[in-house]
Amino acid sequence: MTGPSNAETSLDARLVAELPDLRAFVRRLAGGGATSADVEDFVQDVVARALRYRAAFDAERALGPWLRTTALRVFIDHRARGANAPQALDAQSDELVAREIASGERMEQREELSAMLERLDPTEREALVRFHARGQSVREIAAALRLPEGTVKSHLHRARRKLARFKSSEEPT
Amino acid sequence: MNDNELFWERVNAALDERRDPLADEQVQALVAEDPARLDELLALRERIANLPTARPRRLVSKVASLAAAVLVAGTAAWFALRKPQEQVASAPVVTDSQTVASELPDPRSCVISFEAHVVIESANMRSTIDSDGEHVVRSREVFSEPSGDDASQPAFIASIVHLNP
Repeated sequence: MTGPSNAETSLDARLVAELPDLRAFVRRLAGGGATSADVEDFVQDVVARALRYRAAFDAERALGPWLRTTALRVFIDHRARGANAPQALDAQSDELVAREIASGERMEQREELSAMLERLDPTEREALVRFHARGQSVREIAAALRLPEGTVKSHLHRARRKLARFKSSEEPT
Repeated sequence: MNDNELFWERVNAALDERRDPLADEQVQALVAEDPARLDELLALRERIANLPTARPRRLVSKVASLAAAVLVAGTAAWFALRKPQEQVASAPVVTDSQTVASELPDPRSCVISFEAHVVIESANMRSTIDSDGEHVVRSREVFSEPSGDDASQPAFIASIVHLNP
């Protein structure tokens, strides 16, 4: 009977050392609505997948980015399954209650979002809302705003970067 | 191009094609390299999902201001054109078409048709005059005098109707 190789032992040890950072990353990915149990389940799925594909890992590389990439793939798979899978009735009612509780928070978020939109350049804001909220194409926006398509794209791209970087009132500035 | 520029280029390319940036392998690798990018990406995704579908507030307020200005101007014009009719109605005595016609608005104004129904009432007479703006089309006088037992209630005496063909 042969025991684990030195490389495997080394990977296991490194994996254990990476767990706190991985847990923090998963918590971010899962969002504020996730419970500690959800996060632990998620971390276990990530570690299980990492161990399944350990042969693909280059021991010379840093483990953290590889684990986080694995976490992102697990997250995307979970989301795809969640979108297709039918939910149990209890889960649906729990979700309804959670939605009621969250509705107040959503009002605040919308107000905050409105304030962020006000901080954008008017053309950036117009391009962003037309593209993402009204589903218009870049060509349609360009025609409506009488701008070249490339200019509309530039405005749209700048608007996204700004919108992503605006600090929420809950975040430290 | 540095990693940050590359990250945003990939994110924007995915969003331009209405794909999930997190499903892009290069985005995943860049997020894995710097988890702070995940925060930006998730914040962007949430904010995009909550964007209002209505026109931005400044544009709405401009449209609302314009509509209000048009409404005020329209109301003012309506009152300006309506005033001469009211003056005719409040005149003490209107006897012929010339008087009615002289009270009409300036013909250069935008009134395209005009009709007047004038009612003059006194203690023992009620006169109604219908005008098409130039001629008295119909006039009618009803004469009465107070009845003996109740002075406040006039008694009917005669009615005269004039019709101009």
